[in-house]
Amino acid sequence: MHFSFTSTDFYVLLPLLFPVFGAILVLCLDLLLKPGKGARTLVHGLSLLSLLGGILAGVQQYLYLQPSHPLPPKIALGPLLEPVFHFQPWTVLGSILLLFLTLISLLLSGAWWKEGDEEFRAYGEFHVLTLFFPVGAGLLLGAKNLMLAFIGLEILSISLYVLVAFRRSRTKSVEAGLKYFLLGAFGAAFFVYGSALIYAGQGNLDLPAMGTILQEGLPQPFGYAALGGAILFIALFFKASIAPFHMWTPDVYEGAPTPITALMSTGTKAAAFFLLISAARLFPHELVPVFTFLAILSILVGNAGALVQTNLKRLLAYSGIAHAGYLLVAYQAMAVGQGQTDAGIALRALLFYLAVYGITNLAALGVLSWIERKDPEIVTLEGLKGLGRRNPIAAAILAIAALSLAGIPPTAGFWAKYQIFAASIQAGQIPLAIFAILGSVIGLYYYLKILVALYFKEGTSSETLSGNGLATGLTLSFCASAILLVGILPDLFLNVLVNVRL
Amino acid sequence: MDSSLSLILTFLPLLGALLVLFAPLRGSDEGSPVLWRLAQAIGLVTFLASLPLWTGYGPGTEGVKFLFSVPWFHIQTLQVHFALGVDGLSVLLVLLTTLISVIVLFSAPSHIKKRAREFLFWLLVMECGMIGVFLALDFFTFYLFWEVMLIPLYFLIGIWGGKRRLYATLKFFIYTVAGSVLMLLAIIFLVRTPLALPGNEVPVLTSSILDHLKYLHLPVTTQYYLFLAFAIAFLIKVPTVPFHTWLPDAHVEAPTSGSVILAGVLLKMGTYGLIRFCLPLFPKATLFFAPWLMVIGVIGLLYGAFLAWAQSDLKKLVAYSSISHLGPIVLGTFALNAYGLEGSVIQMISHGVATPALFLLVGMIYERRHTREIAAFGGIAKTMPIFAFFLVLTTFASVGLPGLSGFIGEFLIFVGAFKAWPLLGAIATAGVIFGAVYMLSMVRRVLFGPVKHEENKLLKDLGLREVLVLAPLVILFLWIGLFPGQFTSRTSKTLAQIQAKVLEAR
Repeated sequence: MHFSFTSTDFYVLLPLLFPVFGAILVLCLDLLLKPGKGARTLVHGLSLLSLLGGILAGVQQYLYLQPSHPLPPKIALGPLLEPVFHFQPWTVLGSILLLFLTLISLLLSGAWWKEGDEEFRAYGEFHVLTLFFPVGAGLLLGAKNLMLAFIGLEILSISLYVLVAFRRSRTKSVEAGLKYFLLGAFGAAFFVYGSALIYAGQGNLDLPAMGTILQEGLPQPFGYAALGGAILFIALFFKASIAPFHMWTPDVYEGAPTPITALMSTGTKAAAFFLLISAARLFPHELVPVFTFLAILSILVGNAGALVQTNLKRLLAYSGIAHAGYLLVAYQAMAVGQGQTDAGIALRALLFYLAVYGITNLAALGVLSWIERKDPEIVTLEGLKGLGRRNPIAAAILAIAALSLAGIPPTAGFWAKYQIFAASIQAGQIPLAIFAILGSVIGLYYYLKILVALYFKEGTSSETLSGNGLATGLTLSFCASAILLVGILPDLFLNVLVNVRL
Repeated sequence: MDSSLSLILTFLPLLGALLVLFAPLRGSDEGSPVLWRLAQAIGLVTFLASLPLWTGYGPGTEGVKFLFSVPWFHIQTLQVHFALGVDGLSVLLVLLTTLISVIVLFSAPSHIKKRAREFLFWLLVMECGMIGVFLALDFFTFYLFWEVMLIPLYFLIGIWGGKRRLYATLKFFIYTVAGSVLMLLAIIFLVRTPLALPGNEVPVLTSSILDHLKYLHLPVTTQYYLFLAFAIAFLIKVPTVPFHTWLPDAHVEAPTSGSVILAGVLLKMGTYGLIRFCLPLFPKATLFFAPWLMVIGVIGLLYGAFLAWAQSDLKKLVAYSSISHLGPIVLGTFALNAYGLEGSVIQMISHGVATPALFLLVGMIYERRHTREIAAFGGIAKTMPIFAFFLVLTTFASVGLPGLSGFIGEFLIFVGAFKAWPLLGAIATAGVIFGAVYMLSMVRRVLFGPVKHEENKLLKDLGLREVLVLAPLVILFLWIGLFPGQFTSRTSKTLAQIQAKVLEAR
């Protein structure tokens, strides 16, 4: 067999190659340059630029893939990439989203550093690892072959294991890293074991081939492949923190540095759902009740768990579990939907929800990381008290994010929920839609608790509490404006998705 | 001009809110006088701007006027409009909203002593939301305003409310949202139902409320489900028994201004929604459920009255009396005849002026005595004759003394109920006696008899500002009571259409 990379392959992988080269460059620079403010600025700027380059490349690809584009898309992937990699509008959008989430997280992380910390020496490594995250996620998303998906999953996971434990001086961070690593290793093992069974069943590791086998319902090998598929899904459920595979989430989110929590809660969830989407045609119809059950369970566990939390990072972790449940509602709709139209509506709902949830959660956690270093207490509901007076801007951004997570108009979160419920109704899953919508009412309770702490309670101190870093402040303002803008004019963003289908 | 009035009316308060928020005025936490004047001016201008609705929607007018509609966004093939307009059902309610807002703005300085800027901001945002709900003629526009309106009230009660305000706000918010998300599902279903519009060969998707009102035809079972989804949202908002428990908490904990808005405008949204959506959109379901809802209305009337009777706290009493007075509106609406429907709309307006006046009076006496226990008063008529005059007049308007506003609404409703279901009409009419009993006994215990408490001897009577705040409401009791034709003539055509739509399905 001869392996050759064609220029098209390079073009297709360009959004991922930008951060790869960025990471390598940062790694070298970090070795060569004398540590100092200048070096740090260079490293930070270079990382941001490489992500931005990746995003721009993705946008260019997406425009190229539009049916309205003057040149018809004639992307023929080379022999190496063709059997293993998807190149479709939704995968391109997915990688843009992942790069974007990483970019925002990295921008937000600016506020998190503090002179004199032990971790300051590892400024470069932090950036390198963060840059590898979207690369792994992008491979996972584009994978047509389970081996490539596994490689993507591992790249993503390993950078996260390290990043979660990044604050070595804090026990909680190290504990979270270890927890995530051990459970993540289990997850990876499940993935490999599932892949092995699938291989036993169908003789190769291709996702589409598996789909046809399952649809034709071949009797004997089918058993292995179906079992393997189920086990493989567990690994993905683990990453997406869907109940009952969610146990690690609150501890890890709490212990990880806040910008990394932001990245994990949005990026990892998105990546896991992207592979679920790729594998959507993989499972037989009989599995639909399982998805229904998991969606209900996640919504219940997430919302019930969040009710009693006093730490905001834990609260958002449980809320993330509930949101994974809502995403699963759309996913279930995509799976049962009759024909291309329904599946397309559900897929668009999923992508829209992932994007909106991503930016909203980044805004919420970003506010915490913005102020955390000035007042570490801020991550608790107790510490948030009176923030409305101490720092009106941060409080307003957090309030907007909380309302968006709760799905109250005119925020983007409302339209995200709307899309999901509409997809679910379109697919005829009305009882599940009603359950999900009632679950979101329970969710209101704890999102409102955030508002209560921000505005209704007086804090112990009334001094102004400034945020750390102008760039972070601007990024947060950008997120909040985006939430409101999409809330008022949802088609700004929905139109982008019009041509997306499976 | 005609069409842009709706738009101006909706967004003037919002612009004002932003102006208040960012006005470079320094001042204490109580807000500088200039800031208050500014907000009051915005309220007044909005009220004046709403007056053309009264003349523009004159007696006998039919259909929608002041229609403003621009394409807003689209979801796949569904083009959503931002559509506002006035018809016979909403015209009086919009005027009521702008009036109540002015009254709140002028009465608030006496009890809002902290964070005035935020207060004024939320109040004006609230006004925008309320006007928007009544004017909205597109499902998405409607739902947007419906939900947006909750946030300001949440803040109004949560920041400036009483001791148990957090409990009250949460309860209020979650009750209301639980109802409205069900309505959202129904709306999603509706806008995905293609309508056979004239001029289109194939049925199309539309979110225009007007198109749905005219051309929606649903199978009976679907109507049942959708009717329930909408009706539960509105019945929670009214509120009717058994969804009423959020209201007393919200009222008691809210600051006077919050109570005034809640009683004056917000509670009307439920009944407005029932008439606007449930009746004409789902006529078959309406006919099926109407007897049940009439019973719920009567239960609300009686149960609210009994609960009010048992209260020792003035504000709680008024709060429960609201439940009792809103029951008849549901009763009249589902009597499904002209008397019942027109009575309901008049009763909405009447309750919307009488109850705010009661809350204002309770607030005024609370500011003087810092208690609302009925037992703490007695014989106040001697020390506060002007207050006594207003309280007696308002009570009469509220219990429906002929010549005052409450009478017209209740009379029409009971005539309608009699026509629809004589026995129930009889029970309801008898129930009004309870209303008179608890209200009048409250008046007796507060105003008359010997002055038992030393503090009550030194109470200052109402000042000019307080009288001026109450005056417009009093004028309205008399106006509605003496010239009801001016009000019913504006609503009758629209209501007749709705009624015809329902009866067609029989």
